[in-house]
Amino acid sequence: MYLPRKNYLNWVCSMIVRYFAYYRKDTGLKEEKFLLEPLTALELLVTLSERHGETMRSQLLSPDGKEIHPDVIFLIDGRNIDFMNGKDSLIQKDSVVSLFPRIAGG
Amino acid sequence: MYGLIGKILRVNLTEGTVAEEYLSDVLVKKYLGGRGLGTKIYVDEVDKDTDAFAPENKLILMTGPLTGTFATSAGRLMWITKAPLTGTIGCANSGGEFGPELKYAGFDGVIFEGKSEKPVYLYVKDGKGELRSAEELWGQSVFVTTDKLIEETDPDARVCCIGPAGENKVLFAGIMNEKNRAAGRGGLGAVMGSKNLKAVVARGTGGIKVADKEGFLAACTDARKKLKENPVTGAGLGAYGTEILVNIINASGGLPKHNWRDGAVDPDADQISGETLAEKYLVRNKGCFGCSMACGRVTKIKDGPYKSAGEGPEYEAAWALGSCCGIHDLAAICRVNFLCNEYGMDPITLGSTFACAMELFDKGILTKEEMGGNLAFGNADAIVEFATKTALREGFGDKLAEGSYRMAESYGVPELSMSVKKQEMPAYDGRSLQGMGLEYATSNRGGCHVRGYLTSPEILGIPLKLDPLVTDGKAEILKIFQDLTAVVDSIGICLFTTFGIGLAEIGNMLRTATGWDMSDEELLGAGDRIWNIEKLYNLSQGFTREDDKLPPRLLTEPLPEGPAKGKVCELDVMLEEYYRLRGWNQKSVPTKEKLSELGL
Repeated sequence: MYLPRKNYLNWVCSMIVRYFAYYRKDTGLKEEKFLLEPLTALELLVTLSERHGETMRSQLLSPDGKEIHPDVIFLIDGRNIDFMNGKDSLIQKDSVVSLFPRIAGG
Repeated sequence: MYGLIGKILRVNLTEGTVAEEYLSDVLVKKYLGGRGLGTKIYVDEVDKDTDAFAPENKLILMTGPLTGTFATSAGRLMWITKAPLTGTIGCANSGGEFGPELKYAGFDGVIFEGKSEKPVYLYVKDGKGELRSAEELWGQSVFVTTDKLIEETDPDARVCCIGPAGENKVLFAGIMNEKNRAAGRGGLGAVMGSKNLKAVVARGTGGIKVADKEGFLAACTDARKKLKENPVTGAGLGAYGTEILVNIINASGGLPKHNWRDGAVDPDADQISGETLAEKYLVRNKGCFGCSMACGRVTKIKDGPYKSAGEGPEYEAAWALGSCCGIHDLAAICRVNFLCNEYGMDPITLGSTFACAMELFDKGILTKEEMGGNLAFGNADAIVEFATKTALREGFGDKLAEGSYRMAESYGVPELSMSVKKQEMPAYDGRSLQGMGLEYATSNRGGCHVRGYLTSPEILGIPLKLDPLVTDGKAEILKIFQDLTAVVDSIGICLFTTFGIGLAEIGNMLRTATGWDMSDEELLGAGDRIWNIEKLYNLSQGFTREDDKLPPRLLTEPLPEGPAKGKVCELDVMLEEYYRLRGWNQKSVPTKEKLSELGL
């Protein structure tokens, strides 16, 4: 689907957002494909929160919506944004975004 | 003595005698219990030149001071001996209910020595232990053995036993309790089999004294509250089990496929994931003694060629039998995991050994005729077929039963065994998780993920975040993790508690239970001491720096794709720093100063 956004370069990029664990239940999806103008990690989560409602919003964002919830593990093409530019990490064309809640095992 | 009962049993299987012994307060405080105390007793009592299967070898079962108490997730027990798979110190732990039951029966542990002429089992009940015949049980599965022994002894009894794999000395046979809980790695079940010891049965109605009852309850309540409030220990582990790791490790480029040959990004990984397991086969989750996390999986394959029911698989087993073998039929993986529990066999080494055989076949080194079957990448039916053959040592299964290293070595290609010190590495590629590479190389029991689980900071962000692709700082954190793990393994609680609580909470539970005046630093120091006595034993067995290594594939073959594309494990850089932080010289030998500091 195409979700236009304002204030960005006038081109779109495709991306895949993959959901895991509880996020699958709460979105009802394993993955979604988007055409979006380039955007940051935080902006993507704001977009997804608007799209999937309060349950997801409360899991993805801080209460004021300005930070990524600390329990979100956010990978862009396998790299954790904590080791990129954090919430300002730019999602490039054809990227795969993987979203996990805080999980563990071993 | 508080926490521990203060008594153990010494069972001489050659003589058929069972005797009580008292534990020394000083020794217990210095080595804590479980892994530490059991290892100390083992290295003091067993001549270093003893073969794992010799009657002179001893097999030690030991619980910890928190085992069976109100402390959180306090169901752990530890088995210690020389590991036949590796030749290193062997220690493997298990949860369930057996450890607490043994303490309620009046004993902290059991030392088995000698070899029985005929199969026997030990029955421990309320302060007494006796050896009984197990001749009719020999050859029976873990499940049948457990049911029969409960019928023969007490309906509330708990059973530890081996299956046919242990009897047949499969080098990765485990010791099972309550049917599906496993002290899985290193082949300790084969040592039990070599002694003609089929099982240990415990039933007790006693209790455990703690030093400061009110303080202990407060400490335990605090720890339990923190575990419950934590998203991982309070919800995630119970909902999805350890299998939830499949997708995140894969997305991070760390899920090795095809015997670690073809990279570590598996496009079909979701088919064997925790999410898929929950959707298709999960009946319910299940907890061990006193555990609120309840990460165990009760699973059922309702129809099809693999129709069966049981427990598991854990993440590492699903990977070994799955991506590592190029197999994505989760029903088949579950079936083999159930068989491993029935036969008493480690599914990590089994799956990795299958994968090694599959690569040998792929390269034309092995033929279908020699295998008597078709162990090819992706053949799900074959892993079901060869699981049984391996446990029973039938045909080519006899070779598989030796593990991947000995099998590959017999064909002149030991480098194709993805093992460290002859034990197969599980499920996390050391090229994309650099710290895990160091962890495998330095683990005192060979390739193993639970001696210093750096996946936690490298991927999961617990309790801190470390970039998996860099080497800086990994040695320092690994040492802390290894020492803390030695503490956790020794006091009798589950390692998974450390996803939600830390040394402070663990120390509070331990101090109030035992009355030990011991700071958190001293507690971690005890972990350091335990790590070093294990190291000293391995040195006595001829292991040197040359053995603290990884398979050449991880050091010379860069990953072809994923976030770690182009990376190999930069082991040497981390290893030098690790030795320095450990207080060892560059030959990996502890210095005199270090040993003096540890009171060794």
